[in-house]
Amino acid sequence: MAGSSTARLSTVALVVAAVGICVVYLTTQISVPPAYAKVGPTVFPYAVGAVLIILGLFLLRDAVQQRWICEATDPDVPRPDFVPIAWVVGALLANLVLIERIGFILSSTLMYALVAKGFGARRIWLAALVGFLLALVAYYGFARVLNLRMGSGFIEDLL
Amino acid sequence: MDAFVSLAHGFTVALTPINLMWGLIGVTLGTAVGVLPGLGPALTIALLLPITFQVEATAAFILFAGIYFGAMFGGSTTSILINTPGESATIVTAIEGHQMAKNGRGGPALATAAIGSFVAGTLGVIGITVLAPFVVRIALSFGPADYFALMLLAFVTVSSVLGSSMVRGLTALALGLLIGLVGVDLQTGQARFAFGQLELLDGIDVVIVCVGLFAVGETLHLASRYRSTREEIIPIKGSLWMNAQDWARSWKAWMRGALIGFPIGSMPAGGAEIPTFLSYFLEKKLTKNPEEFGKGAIEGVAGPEAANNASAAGVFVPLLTLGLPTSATAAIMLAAFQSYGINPGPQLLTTQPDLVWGLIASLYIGNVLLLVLNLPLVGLWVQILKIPTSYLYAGILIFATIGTYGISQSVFDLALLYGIGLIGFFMRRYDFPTSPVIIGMILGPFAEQQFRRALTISQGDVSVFFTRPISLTLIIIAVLSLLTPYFISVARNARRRARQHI
Repeated sequence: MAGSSTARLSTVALVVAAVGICVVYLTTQISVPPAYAKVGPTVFPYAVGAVLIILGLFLLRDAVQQRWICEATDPDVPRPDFVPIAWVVGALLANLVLIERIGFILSSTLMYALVAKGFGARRIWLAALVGFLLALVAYYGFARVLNLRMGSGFIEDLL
Repeated sequence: MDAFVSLAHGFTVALTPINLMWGLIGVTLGTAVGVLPGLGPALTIALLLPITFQVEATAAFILFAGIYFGAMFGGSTTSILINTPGESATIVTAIEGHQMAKNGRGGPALATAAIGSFVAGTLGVIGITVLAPFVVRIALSFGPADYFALMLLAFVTVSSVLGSSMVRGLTALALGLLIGLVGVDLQTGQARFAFGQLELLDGIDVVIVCVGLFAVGETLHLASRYRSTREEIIPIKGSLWMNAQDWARSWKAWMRGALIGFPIGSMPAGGAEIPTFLSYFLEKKLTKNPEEFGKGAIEGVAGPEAANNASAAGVFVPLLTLGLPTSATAAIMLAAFQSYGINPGPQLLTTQPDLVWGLIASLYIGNVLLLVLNLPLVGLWVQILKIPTSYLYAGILIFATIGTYGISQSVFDLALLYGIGLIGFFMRRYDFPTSPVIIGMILGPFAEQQFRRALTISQGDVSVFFTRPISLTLIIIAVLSLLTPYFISVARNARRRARQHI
């Protein structure tokens, strides 16, 4: 178990360092107007990239020396439950796909029902009803009181 | 004494019926989100940022201040009654408070927390009133190099204070700095890290990051473990009121907690965790009943709660006088200031006296409102905890969606929100603190601006950071705190010990 957790932590550390390398690479692609050559727009990005690479190496050291205690590697914490996560992620994806097509209210109602299902709600029709009312109230609250444009949709156009 | 005259003026601003109403809405909303595990003031204020387009600044900040303090009160209620500290600052409260609740003394535990918060809030407001003009006088002599050095110091201290590992804190901060870099560079018009996406040219909105990390990330995290962790609410039995002995044991702890909390909160380091732990260990040392510690000692609730509240008040000193946020909530408030076109800094006290002193007075009024409204109504607040997890988190996602999609109507932003939520989930799993991300993304652009301004003045000579006494001192302190992980290991051991108690 200790070996596999070291491997996972090392992966996280390497991801951090890899992000740093990407930042440095992307920064080399930013063209600098010569007038700003001294303190141009690339100084901070280079610094952030370098810091991320260094921190990645420090994290790697923590991982190898097993000084990194966290939920993901704590043997006392039960393994993550992937079924509910899958429901929630599915709900989010459905919302992304549908929100422009059927409008915020219907799309959010579906998301609500799916998330509630993922969290173990039994009466899914009740969840859908609550979600619909909540989305309606939220739509009114935000769209009307705060004057945000929430886009159109089947229900939105009726109001 | 000028400051107290200004404060009195602030009370006339805050006590108008309309502002009082905003304060009342704020503390009510704040308590509700504070009671709910996993929700916090930063998230709530982020979702309400669009209000800054609708109401004037003073009213908005009175609302936000109410949320801030209300959430703290609600958070301690949850720690005491169900032993799930919503934020790290209430871990200590949970140690003794939950034991008291189990012994049927939940009422006095809540009472000492509420009255202690009130006492500490009062001392905190006096502290701000005295300290803020003083800090302003120092800050007026700050040049760009000094500001940059100050932010560097804040970066280091904030990363080590908010979280259990400095390396992970700094990683979170660097991630925030990176997010802050995205978009068009204001000085040269160069796009950075925008990948040719129109949506990214304006930069990433702090609302998206905050809501993504705190709402979406939290929901995913809870989804991964709700079936294996069951929480039990301990009903409040017996009297709510403290008896004579409770008072006698509490009042000194409140005072000491406030005196520890306020100075630490007002330092550029911030963080409520260290003062609450310090207060806890101080009370444990000074108590006449050491055998009760770990079994429900009232001093162990009174002191840390006061320290927590006083440090929360202290955070306003660097925020208002230097424009330096040291907590996620303060960073969001800075974003709200920006939305009004106001830049907090030493001039703020003279240019916006109504706003600043009205805000400070409303901190006090908020504490009074919390005391009179929430303690008697605690039974009602506990009802919120009975909302089924499934409905609660599904609802949170609806508000997260509306808070971001409502601003931009952009599916791209929504995807960004959910993506950041996924990152937040992994950050929780691997114990990276999330607050430094928010602080980094808000403060990063300011730091870069001051850095470049300093070098423009010095014509590219880097020595400017090491020849000005203020800047040099701040940089030395920053380097020292970077190289002295000793204090952090002390805090880490304290936290580990505390976890074992729970």
